[in-house]
Amino acid sequence: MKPVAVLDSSVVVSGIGWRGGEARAVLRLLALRGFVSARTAWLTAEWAETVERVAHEEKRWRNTNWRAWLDWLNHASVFFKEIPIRVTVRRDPKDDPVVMAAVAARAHFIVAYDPDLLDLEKPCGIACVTPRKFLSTVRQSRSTV
Amino acid sequence: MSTVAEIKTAFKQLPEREQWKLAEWIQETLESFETLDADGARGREPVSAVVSIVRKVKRERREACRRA
Repeated sequence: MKPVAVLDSSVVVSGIGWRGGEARAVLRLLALRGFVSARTAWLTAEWAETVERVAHEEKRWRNTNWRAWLDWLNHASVFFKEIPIRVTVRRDPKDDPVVMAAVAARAHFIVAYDPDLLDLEKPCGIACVTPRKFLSTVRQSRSTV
Repeated sequence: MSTVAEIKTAFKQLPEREQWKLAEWIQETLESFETLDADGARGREPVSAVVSIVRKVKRERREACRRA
């Protein structure tokens, strides 16, 4: 069974904007169907808004084709309806929708760069990991199958 | 969810024209990412700058949702 992961906006933005990092490697792995990416309506809108903002505010941004990337990511990710659960990310409630999306999708991983999410470690049994940790875990599990 | 073996069997049972259509669709799907993969700045992402903007957007969205 393929792992199911929710990509936090920090990873989506990084993967779309920069070619040489681990976030892009996560998107490449998704293109190769190495895992199932899950999204909800909230998360889809958040991806779009964050990518647009970083594209405008970050001087090192070089991807003028970001809208096509978002289209690709939306098509490559499985849509899940949000479910009304009470998850509270105590450190910062702004991250609740990410955890909620992962619960709705019964995801194994939340892939993030944001320390607020990573510090949660395993909310609702879902592993919050960096792109590096995610890539190594998925590659290891594929090599042992 | 079907296994690869089941999909292969189903593929072979399709009329030739349908097989071509499916093959073209698979190729287009893979090519679309290959074309995209050339986009973006060289090097690694500036994580702290990205996280800072992402956090700001998340807070604004949450506040707007609360107000609505």
